[in-house]
Formats: sequence, C-alpha cells, structure tokens
Amino acid sequence: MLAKRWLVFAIVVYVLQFAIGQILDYSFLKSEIYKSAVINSQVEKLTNSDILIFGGSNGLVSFDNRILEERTHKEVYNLSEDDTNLKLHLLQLKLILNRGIKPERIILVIGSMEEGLSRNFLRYLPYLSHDEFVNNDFQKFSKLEFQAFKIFPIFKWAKYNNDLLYPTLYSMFLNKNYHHRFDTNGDYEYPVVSAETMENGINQKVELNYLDSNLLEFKNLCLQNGIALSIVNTPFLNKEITWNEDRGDVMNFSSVFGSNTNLFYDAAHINKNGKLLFSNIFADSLIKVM
Amino acid sequence: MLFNSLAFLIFLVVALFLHWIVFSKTAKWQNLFLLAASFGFYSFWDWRFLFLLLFSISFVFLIGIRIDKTESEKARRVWMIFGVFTSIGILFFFKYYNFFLSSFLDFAESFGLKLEVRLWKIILPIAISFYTFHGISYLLDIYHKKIKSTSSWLNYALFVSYFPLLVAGPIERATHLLPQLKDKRRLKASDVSEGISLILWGFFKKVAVADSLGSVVNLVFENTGNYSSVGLVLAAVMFAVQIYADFSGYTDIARGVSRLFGIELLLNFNFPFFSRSITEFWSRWHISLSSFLNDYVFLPLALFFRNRGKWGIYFSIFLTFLISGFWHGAGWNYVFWGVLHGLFYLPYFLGKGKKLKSIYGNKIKGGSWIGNLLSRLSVFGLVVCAMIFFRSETIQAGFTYFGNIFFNSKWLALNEFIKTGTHAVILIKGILASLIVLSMEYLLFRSNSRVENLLNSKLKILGVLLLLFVLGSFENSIEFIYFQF
Amino acid sequence: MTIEKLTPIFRDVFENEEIDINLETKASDIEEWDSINHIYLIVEIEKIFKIKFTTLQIQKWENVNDIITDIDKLVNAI
Repeated sequence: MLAKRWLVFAIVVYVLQFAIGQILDYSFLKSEIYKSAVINSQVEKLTNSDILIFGGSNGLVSFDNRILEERTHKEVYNLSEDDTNLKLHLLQLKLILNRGIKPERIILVIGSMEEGLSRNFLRYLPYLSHDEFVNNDFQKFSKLEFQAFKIFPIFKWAKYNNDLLYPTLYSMFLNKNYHHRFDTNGDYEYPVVSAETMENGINQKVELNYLDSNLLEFKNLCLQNGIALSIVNTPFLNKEITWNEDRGDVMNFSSVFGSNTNLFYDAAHINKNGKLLFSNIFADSLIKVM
Repeated sequence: MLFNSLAFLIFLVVALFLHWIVFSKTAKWQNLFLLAASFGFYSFWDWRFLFLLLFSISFVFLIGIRIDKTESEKARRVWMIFGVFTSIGILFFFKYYNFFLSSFLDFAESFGLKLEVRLWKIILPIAISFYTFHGISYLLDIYHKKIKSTSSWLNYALFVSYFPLLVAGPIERATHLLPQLKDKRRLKASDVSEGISLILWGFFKKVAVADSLGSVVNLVFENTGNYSSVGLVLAAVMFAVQIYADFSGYTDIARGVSRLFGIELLLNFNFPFFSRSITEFWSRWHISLSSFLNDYVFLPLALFFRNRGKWGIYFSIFLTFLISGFWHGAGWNYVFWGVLHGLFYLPYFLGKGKKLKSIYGNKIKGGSWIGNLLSRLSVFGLVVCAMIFFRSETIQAGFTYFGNIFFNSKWLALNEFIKTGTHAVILIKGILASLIVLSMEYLLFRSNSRVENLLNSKLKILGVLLLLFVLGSFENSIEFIYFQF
Repeated sequence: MTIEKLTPIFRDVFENEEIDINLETKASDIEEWDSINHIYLIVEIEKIFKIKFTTLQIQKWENVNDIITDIDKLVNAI
C-alpha cells in the first residue's frame, strides 16, 4: 500500500539520521577540535592541570602559558574559547566537574555580560543529551530547535556543517590532533598589526554586575568544590571596566595598557607583544593571591 | 513563515494530516480547510493586511459576477475597467505611491524646487503584487469569455490566496486553477512521489545553492571596489545562479507542496539558462509572469499597433518590459533592468524588411554544437549584465559595478573571496552545489524531462537528503528574493 | 476556408517551409508560433482576406480551427 512504503522509508531515514548523528557526536567528543571537545577527550590532561583559564577571546589570547607556568610553578591549561560568554563558561564548569576534574584554581576572564547564547554555543551541541546541558537553564532558551536537535541529531550537524561537520570529518579521517585556533596549551595569539588599522575609540566606561546570576552560580560551584576563583579583566584599548561591587576576588587590568596601540591587535584584544607583557604583570598579581 | 523553516515543516505536516484525514469528504470541505490554512499562513506574515486581502477578493469576485450578468458589450467593458483599475490603484498606492512621490520630489529638487510634501508611512502588504494580478487576470478572462465567473466565493478566495502560491507565485490563471478546485481531490501515488521530488530538489537549490552563493554575493555587492575584475564577473554570474536557484527552488517547493494536496500549479521555470535566444529565455524564466504580461499587456498593445509594422510590435515589447521592470519593485534599478531586456530585442528588429528577422535560423533543427554553445553563452551573458542592475541598489551603483569591471587596477586577484576560512568554505559549498544542480538539470533538459521526475526513486531521495545535509547553508538563511514583490 | 489555403500563410510568416497544420494545431505545437509571430500572422491573414478581427475574437482562439471559423464568419459577412 502507498502509505506503508512511505512509512517504512520514513522510518529508515529516521534511523539512519539518528545513527549518523550519534556517530558524529561521538567522534566529535573524542576529538580535540574545539575546547568543547577537549573537555571530554583530554580529561587526564585537564585533571593534571592546577590552573584552568576560562574565558572568551580575551582569555584566549592574553596569556602566555610558558610565562605563567614558570612564574607560578604550576601546570596551566587555557580552556578559553572565542565568542563564548559567562553562560557557556558555567556549562563548561559543570562539564569538567562531572568528569572529576577539580583544579586548584580557576581564572575566569570576563569581558562583558551579555544575555543570551553566544555564537559558539553551537560547539557544545554534541553534548545535547548530556545532563549538564539539560539541567542548565538552557531550557529557557530552548526553542523548537533544541527539541528538534534532540529528536533529529543530524539537524544540528546539517545546520552547523561549516563549524561542526567539516572539522569533525577532517579530524576523523585526516588529522586526529586537529586544533582549531589554539596550541597544545590552549593558547592563541594575534599578530602585531599597524596602529592605523585600529579604531581608537573614545574613552569608554563599562560597568559589570558583580551579582550577575551566572557569576554567582559559578562562584558557588567553585566554593562547593574547593576551587579558588580569580575573576580577571584583561586589557582593553581606551576602555575601563568597573564593577558595581568587589569582594576582593576581582583582578581588574582593563585599563592597564591605556591607549598604547602597540600592544593591541584591536580595541578588545592584545597582540603578541601585549600578551608577553601582560602575562608577566598578571603573574605578579597572581602569585600574591595564591 | 519561510518555506525553509522548521515552523513551515510542522505547519505542512499538520495541514496534510488534517486535509486528507479529516476534511476530505467533499471538495467544499477540502477548499474550506485550505482557505482557512491559507489565511492562517497569511496572518503569520502580517495579519493586519488580511482585511485588505479579503476586500480585494470580495471586490473582484463581485465584479466578476457582474460582468457575466451584463449583456451589453459596452457595459461589460465599463465593469471590467472599473474592476481592473481599482485593483491596480490599490496596488499602486501601497507599492508605488512613496516611490513615485519621492522620485518626483528628487526630480523637482534638481531644478531647485523644494516641495514640502510628507511621505506617508506606507507598509507594503505582503503578496499584494501576486493577488492583485490574480484578480486582474480573472476579470480579463471573464471579460474575454474565456471563463465563466464562479459563483463560489470560497473557490475564488482559495484561487487567490492558496498558501503555496500566496507569497511569491507562480501567478496562476483561473482557467487552470479554478477547475481543479471544483472536484474533490484524491491523493495519488504520483502526487506524493513527484511532490516530494519537487520539494526536496527545490529545497536543495534554495539551501545549498542560493544561500551559499548569496552570502558571498552580498559581500561583493556591498563593497564592489575591493574586488578584481574577474572577481566581479564571477560574483555577477554567481548572482544569476543564486537568483535562479532561489526563485526556481521556491516555486519547486510551492508546486511540490501543492501536489501533496492534489493540486497542480503552473510551471514557472523550464531550464532558462540553456536558452539560445532572448525570446526563448523569456519562455523559460518566470513563465507565469511572462505569460501574464504576454497575454494581458503585450498582446492587447501589439494588436492595437498591429498596423504600424515592426516598430509597433517593438514598441509593445519595450513597453511590456518596462512594466515588468516596475512590477519587480519600486526602484529605478528594476525599471532599468526591464529597459535593458527590452533593448535586448532591438537587434531582431534592425535590418531591412518589414518583418522580424528570423530569430531561429538553424537553431531549432539542432544547429552545430559550437553554434548552440555560443548562443547559450551570449544569452547568459546578456542576462547576467541585466542582473547586475537588478541586484544593485541604484542604477548608479550598477554602472559603478561595470566601471569597476573594466577600469580596475586589479585584474585577477581572487583573495578577497577567501578572506576567512569560513568564506572559502561557503564559496566552495556554493559552487559544488551549483555544479550539481546545473548538471542534473541539464540532463533533465536534454531528456525533455521535468524536475518532478528527477527524484523518482527512494534511493535518489536519500541521496539528495545526504547532499542537503553536507552542503546546505542553513545557518544564515537568506529570505527568498521575490518575497519583497 | 480550408487548411490548404492557410498553410502557406503559416509557412511564410514563420519562415519555415516544413510546417504542417491541422484543425487541432495550437500555438504550443509550433516552436516559431510565439507571441511576436502571432501578431504577424494576424496582420497577414487580415491583409490577405481583407478582414479585421476584433480583440475579443482573437483572445478566444484556442487552435487553428477557431481561427478558420472566424475567418469564415468575417469573409461571409462582407
């Protein structure tokens, strides 16, 4: 009968896409393409790290691992990922805690506190059926799409084929150790470019909310698990970040480089030279706190 | 909701289920359900203009009945003119009032005349170009006694607002669609397989070709100065492919969706890029619009001027394309695009003799393969040139684009296209998908087949699904270009 | 009015000596029979038979038979 053949076909297609989706999820989580995958595939390396750095692109390019490790005599790994925000860092924290990873200290780099999901949230979609994802309040953002992604795992691979599918296939078949824009320590760096290409911007002042719910939850989790927390603001060009409160765990370096364009790649990120200078400045402060 | 959205998929599944399982007792129930679904679909876009749609439907419906009831030829013509001009008037007001007013003000200002006229904040009601044209063709067909007016408001309303064709066509004819609505539709196996073939292929064109190429093309048109001559030519070609994939993909989906309800819609694209002459092109591109313009604009005009020799005919052609340009948008660049196409016909009217020089020559009976290739390339080239104006914001920008192609310091550099890894990937996806589409459609063209026969096995369907999954550009979906009309 | 009389007119206007028509022939059956040549065809027929069709008549034509019917009607009216 007409309907029966199409029904069987639909079931076959459903099973096929589900299988492919699961296989891809699994391969991704075994790879080292993004920090999101590293969290699952490099548990041992992360467990052996004393200090973990969480952050967005600011965290990614501001720290020179060699300098930090030399100065602090600790193992450091940078879990920062570009285009991620506090909400996502919270998810990252839950993921590592559930894998038994408990560093001595976490350095949390905060550049801004926008609501909503940042773009690279998509890199965590392979964790969609995992607890941490479900129990997080991503449910609040969960539109039709998330539910669809759960029922049809292949949808997320299709939608994000640029960001997820191609790198995963590349990693599966061509280069198992492929890292997308970070080195073995998790760092990345921006080149030195001429100052003319940079917008200098007028002097800005941005205030961050110390009592942000995501931040509070992050702090609580660290507290409960005996992890020391340092909240850090990395240098900005002509921009000063302030906090509406500070109970002593904030290290604010936002205006430490003032308007010195030689140390910046763009208004929000320091370049290679800035990174070396900042890493030492930061290490000075960090040692005092530790 | 866009055709390539999850929301539409759910809407469709629910509508199909309800239609065939609950509402299929009689034709009337089917039509009632489809009308309700269509109004719901329209409301999703903009419920405020539902009232305008209802007014337009009812107005034309009543005029249609009136024309049929009238005996006197003169009186029939008066009613027809009243109906047609009112509809055009409404369209004109919503779509062109601001455009003409601001153009006039600019024109006056260039003479130093600053007029204090306030431009109204007129929002363009979605689908107005399409449902207005449906109404006009209905009245004209009744007037010319090609069809009898329908006494069913329900059927007429459905003819005009049927959701698959509501927002971007094809422009249907009462002679083709109304008869299908009279009888109860039964779901046939061919409807299901051909419908799915159309939907999937259209979706692939939209999502893998149009959206991928679109993101690249958008970058180029935003910054033409940064690209080399070859790059600009490439981008123009990509735009032509993009708009083809976008629009033909859309109509494939519309026709496929309609097939799933047992209703056939007119063909809108018939492999236009393989045309060997500009007349052939217009018999293959946006067929529903060009036949509308042919039947309701060109023919009456050319008949009126038929004793003025070939220039009477040329004038009619030119005017028709001018109107086509206007229909495409309230913007002078669209008008210019229309003018260009009108000019493309000029060569056929030059030369001696009263009659049109043969456009066909040896091209119908095969012709040499190099001859065919050259004619196809030249037609394609002309079409792409006109497209540059279609895509540019203004006529000025269009000329700038050409200027940049010819008077550019950079000839060959293509590195602007692959500024980032993502750009390069999207470009490759788009080109790959385009090659797949163009070659598959070329095979269909050669075997005189249709898109609905392309995915005629479940294995092929699986293949396209796989291609979709690997090559689709779902993330930054670009709205169907023709939605703004 | 017979097909035989009409055929050479078609062949001349469409510039194709191999065209054959019958009563059922429609525009879509002949590649050269596009809207432009349609006008030329009408002009030629009107010239040869010294008649003038009304727009209404022209709009109603579906096939060659319809054309012949109207030609006869007009020729007999003279």
